[in-house]
Amino acid sequence: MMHKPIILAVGDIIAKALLLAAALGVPIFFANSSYIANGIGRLLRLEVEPSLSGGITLAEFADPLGDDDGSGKLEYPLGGGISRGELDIVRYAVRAPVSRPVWGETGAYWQLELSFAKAVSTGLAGGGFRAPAIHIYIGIDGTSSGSIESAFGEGELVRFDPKHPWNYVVSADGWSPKAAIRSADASYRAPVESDWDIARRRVTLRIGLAKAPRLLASLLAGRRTWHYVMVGAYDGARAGRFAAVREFAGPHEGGGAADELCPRVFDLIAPAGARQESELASEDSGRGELALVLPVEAEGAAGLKAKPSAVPRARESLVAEAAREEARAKVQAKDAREREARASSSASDKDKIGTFFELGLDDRALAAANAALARNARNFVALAYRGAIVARSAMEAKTLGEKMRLVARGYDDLDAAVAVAKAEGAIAALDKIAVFLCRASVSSAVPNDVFERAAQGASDFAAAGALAASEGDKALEARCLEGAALAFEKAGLGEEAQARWATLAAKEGLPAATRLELMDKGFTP
Amino acid sequence: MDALLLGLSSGAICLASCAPFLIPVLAVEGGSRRQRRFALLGIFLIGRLLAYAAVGALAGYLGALAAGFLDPTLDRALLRAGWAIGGIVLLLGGLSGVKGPAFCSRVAAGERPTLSAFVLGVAAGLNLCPPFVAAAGRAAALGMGGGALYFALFFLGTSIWTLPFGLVPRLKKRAAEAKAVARIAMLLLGAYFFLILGVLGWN
Amino acid sequence: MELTNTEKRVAPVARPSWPAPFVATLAFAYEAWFFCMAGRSGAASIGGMIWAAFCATLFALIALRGRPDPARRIFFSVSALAFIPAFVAQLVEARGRMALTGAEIAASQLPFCHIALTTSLLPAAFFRTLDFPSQLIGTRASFYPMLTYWLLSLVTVGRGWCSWVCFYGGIEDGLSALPRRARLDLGNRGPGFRRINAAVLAFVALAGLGTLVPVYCDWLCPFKLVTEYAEPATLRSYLALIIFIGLFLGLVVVLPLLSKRRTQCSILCPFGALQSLLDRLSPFRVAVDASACVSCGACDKACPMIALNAETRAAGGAASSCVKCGSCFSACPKGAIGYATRWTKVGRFSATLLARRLREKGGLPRRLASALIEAAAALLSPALLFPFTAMTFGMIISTGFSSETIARLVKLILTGSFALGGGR
Repeated sequence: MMHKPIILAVGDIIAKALLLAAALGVPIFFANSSYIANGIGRLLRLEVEPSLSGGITLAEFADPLGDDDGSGKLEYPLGGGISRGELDIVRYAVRAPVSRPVWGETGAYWQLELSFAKAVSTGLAGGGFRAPAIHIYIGIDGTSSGSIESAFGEGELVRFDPKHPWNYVVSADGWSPKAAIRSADASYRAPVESDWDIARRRVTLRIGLAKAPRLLASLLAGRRTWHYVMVGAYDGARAGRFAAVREFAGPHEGGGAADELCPRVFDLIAPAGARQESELASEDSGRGELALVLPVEAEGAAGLKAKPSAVPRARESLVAEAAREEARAKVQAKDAREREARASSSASDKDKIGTFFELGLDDRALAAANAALARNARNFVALAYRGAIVARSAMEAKTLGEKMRLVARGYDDLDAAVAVAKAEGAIAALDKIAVFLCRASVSSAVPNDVFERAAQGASDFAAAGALAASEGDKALEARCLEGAALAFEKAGLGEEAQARWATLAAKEGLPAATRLELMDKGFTP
Repeated sequence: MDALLLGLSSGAICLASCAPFLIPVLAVEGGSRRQRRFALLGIFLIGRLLAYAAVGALAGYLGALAAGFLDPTLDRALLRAGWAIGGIVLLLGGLSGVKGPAFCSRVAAGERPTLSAFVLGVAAGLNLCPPFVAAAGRAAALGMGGGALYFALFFLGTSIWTLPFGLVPRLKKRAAEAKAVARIAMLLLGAYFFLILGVLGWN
Repeated sequence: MELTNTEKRVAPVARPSWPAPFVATLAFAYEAWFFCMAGRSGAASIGGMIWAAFCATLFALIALRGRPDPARRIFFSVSALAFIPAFVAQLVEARGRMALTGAEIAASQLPFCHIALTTSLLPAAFFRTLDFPSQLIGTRASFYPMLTYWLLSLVTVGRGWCSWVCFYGGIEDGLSALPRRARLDLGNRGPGFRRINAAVLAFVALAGLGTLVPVYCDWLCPFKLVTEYAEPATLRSYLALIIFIGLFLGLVVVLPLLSKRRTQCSILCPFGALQSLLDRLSPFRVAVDASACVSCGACDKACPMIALNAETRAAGGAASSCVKCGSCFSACPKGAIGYATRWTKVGRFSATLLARRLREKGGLPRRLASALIEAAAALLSPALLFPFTAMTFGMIISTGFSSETIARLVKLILTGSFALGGGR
């Protein structure tokens, strides 16, 4: 007569097994929490309420890094404490006008954003008297009125596309820092709310629409707009606040002007198919014609459709080309044995370790690295490779705990190597590049939620890229840019990633796989 | 007709903006028969329709809807009025459960769920959401008769979304609890809507 | 075979028999080490070590004594205290001050806490948008991770979150335990508090849905005083500041000190109300053995949430506002309250019944089987499993900020600087 107790016991154990599942489920869940959260994210695909953050993004433009030299020759003014990068736009975003702001007391508004490559110093806070001066000329589609001349007399020394005259101009500068909007016929002037976020190198401009003239308020209906976005060096004494540019830079002027009609614009957003350098060099001083600048188009909310996919045929040919490149890379693998043999007999530690590492012969690479370190404990290249090898071995580790331990140990070596590389005086650039790339590749591979190294990996890639550029190795520089962009995306820093993609898109001679990736992201390489 | 489709597609927005006004009223009646709750829902919708029609006609007459967008100042004024009115009704509804001095019992005696539901419908209707503006614009283009029909179908489309509230099963056991909770919630909602959103305009 | 009277009424607070507590403590210590040390280096790893040791010690106390008091309260209050310096220091290092900036709202960089879920869930379901300016993913204090932690909590600890995990609740849990006796008797207000709590949830959810404003965060959260708030500049922000300070001082500090109850958690917190509503999904509950209860009312007075009264005791448990803290276990002179599974009646330790039968039949294999069954039952008892589950949850959530606070304190002592640069 064991039935009743057995049934009760079984029922009891089942209930308690559920409790056990809960008890064990908690640590197992948390050990995989980043995957689970990512999975839920992919399932739900939410977005933050646009009117909290300024409205849906209608258009976003990424401007290449390092093009803050106007037509290619402009130099920054010498005085005022401004340095390269502070006038370099990397991103311009046009948001949809928000008619009902949530969690705010302002009325309806329209938000525009600019991001710079380097932290903007505003006014005296930055210690100098130079700051960016921003002019955004806006043309509203479907109107016949407007102007094609600068709003500020001489101003920026440019003229505007007759097909897209401007109706309003927003001017902001980092000195005051205030911003204002005025209409083409000067009948409407109003202040614009401007927020200069130093840490994020971003300027946010909010144009009030509640008391605006009908034409401006009609943007709430979702009309298309055309934007001329230009940045110059602030000079309070000049018309339009854009500092002059002359042949040679001075305390109050920029340098590098080809003639006296050279535009005073250091950086602008050029539409697809046009180039900033050619736009800003298009003046003709002989005939007294100013340079012609072209606007970028921001589709209105009413006409916003999904981004048209890249011309299918162009994409197909790129896919085919990428496949051919991959096949060629595979063919080259058979001379891996030759490389291995050469490496074994090589005298250079770096070559040996590096080759074994690239070929995936981790134990031989590790042995070589340890041998090198035994000979010279400050051999930071060997140290970096060892760190990368140890971290890579975590892929084969069986338990989660061991994986984390191995990665942590790998980082100990990598961090030490980078510290040495940064501290030592004259080191070969190639060595430094190797060290940075070792750490960057590990940071790109490990989960960011646990180790939070993606942003550091991106800056490692950027450092390696800068060194590669100084060495003239364009292919490596491009690969580093790509690595940095991907790492920024992983770290959730989408803007930084976009800036890197834009810069990459401006480069030539990229492999097909990279061009394909750029095309998919919306850049025309 | 695409009026109906427009209404159906924007239902979520209308439902969300109606919910704070509608749910407390229905929750207070949680113990009543289903017919009663549907009746209240119907009265609410009538109030909303009236508000839409009145405001829509007025705005159309003033030409405020012609350009395809609603003048932000007018929009905000209507929104605040809606919150203020709805807030007062909710406050009174919430206070009716409070046992206190004579004033309160007078308020309690004056409680009329039907009237409350109607006024709340009007208050909800003052919230002119963007789909409404689009629909009104199209309706205006169709002239008197066609426009009214277009608009009625749009309204029907949005209202279908509110029907599930009447279908919630009747709570027999915890009706008193739900009623008490609903009343306190009405007080909180009413205070927030009337004072903060309506009068002070801090959203 | 009939159950004897003793078997019918097996005290729920029976200490889990050896070796179950040791096994559980070892398991807990292992996972504490793992989670507290994951991805940390340098000063932060010292903090992790200390926190892991602290949690493991407290868990050992709970497991060996068979009840949570006072170890749980110590853990909970200390982790809430540890949250404040780490969070404030991070804010100050990132922004330069505690107050919010408009730029951060625009950049969606605000940290997302679990209470904000109550305003965000309905709009997220209706509009597929998050009405709170925080990141969707990327840190622990972003939406998707918080959402998943919440979903996990529904099927594991339920409202036990409020006494083992929530890094705000520890403040008033600790304060309510300090006084020797209550100067203000709120004992009969339990049902009223629960109604207000539910109404606040309804208000926050509906207002959030209707206006897309995170109403609780905007006007009602008492913890902005220890986390962040909007810079007081306009009448609105001053008013909000006054409300925060008033709610914090009133509900979190003064009333708990006077009444020995957790007034904020039982009256105001909408997340607590949500957890109570969905507590049925949790397999654990606090149960009262009605046959052993002598209706002395000691548990009613001991409960910080006023969740026990004659009615609930007669029904064999506590009200929905029970946070499973276990304060009532120690108060009961008859040991009639303990953790139990939701679907079984208290006292039905039928596995032990089977074990006894087997033992009586005799013979080595049966005796071995009996011992194994008893050991399994002891290990799988709610008295051990719930604290394990809940404390694991709480330990993992708290390890980030607690280790950091300890590391900062260590740095403060050693170098005089509170800043924590470099790897975390």
